[in-house]
Amino acid sequence: MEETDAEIIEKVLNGNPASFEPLMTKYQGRIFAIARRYTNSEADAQDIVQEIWIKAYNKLSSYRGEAPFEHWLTRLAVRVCYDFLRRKKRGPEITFSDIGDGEQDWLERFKMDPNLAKEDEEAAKALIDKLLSELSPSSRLVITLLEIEDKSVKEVAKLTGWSPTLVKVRAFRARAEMKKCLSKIIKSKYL
Amino acid sequence: MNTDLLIKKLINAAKYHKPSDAVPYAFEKRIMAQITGSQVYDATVVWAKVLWRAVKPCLFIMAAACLWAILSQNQIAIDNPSEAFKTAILAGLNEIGSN
Repeated sequence: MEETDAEIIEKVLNGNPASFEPLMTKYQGRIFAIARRYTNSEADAQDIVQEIWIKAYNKLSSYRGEAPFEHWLTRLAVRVCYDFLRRKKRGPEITFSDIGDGEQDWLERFKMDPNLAKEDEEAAKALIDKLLSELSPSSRLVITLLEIEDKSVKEVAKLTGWSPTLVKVRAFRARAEMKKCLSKIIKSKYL
Repeated sequence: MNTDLLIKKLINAAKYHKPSDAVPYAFEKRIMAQITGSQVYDATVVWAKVLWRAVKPCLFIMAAACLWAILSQNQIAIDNPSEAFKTAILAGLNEIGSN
């Protein structure tokens, strides 16, 4: 029978660090997906995941078992990602000429008819990645959690440790910042 | 250009392109090596920890010794104030004489 998370954690806390590996194997994929939301570099994603697991191991005694381990780990992962964003310098300001041909073409089609520019295209993904990399760390975090991952204000507050009011304020600012960044990119061409 | 609609489209694009949950080969082993590697004791770290733990008892002993010294001095002064006064006045002269 497969061991439960609580049993594994107990073993680790009783001085058996090797028992930590099955826990990592179980949640590794989810942690990588979270890390990749905040960086386009695979090397950075691996560094983030490594930091998450080492912190999780060192702070394991603070896990009280009241909520599922996955929730505790996700909270830790989001906070490590936020720290990573704060440590990392934001990329230089992007203008229309800095974006690739595919993305320019996607924007052209959107200009002609929004229905011609599809969300499933790689160009749209590249464009939103560039836009997110322009945002401040708190704006990027709040847009990712609230808008992209469709989490509620309450859930974001729990994940980030911010108050619900602060989440709302930061979400408002983040939307404005995103609009400003996008306007800067496209203004030379369309506005 | 309708920027609100454009943002909505781009957010939908980010939702559509979910990040991969692929794990690099033997990544767990790499982390486990780090975790178990950090378990190796460094003698200087152990020594520093012992010293750090000794800080509290040392401070307590120092405070007790100071208190004892002050109280015992006060006791001499209370028992024989004239002797204590004479000692205080002549202490400086004794010091000069001894040099």
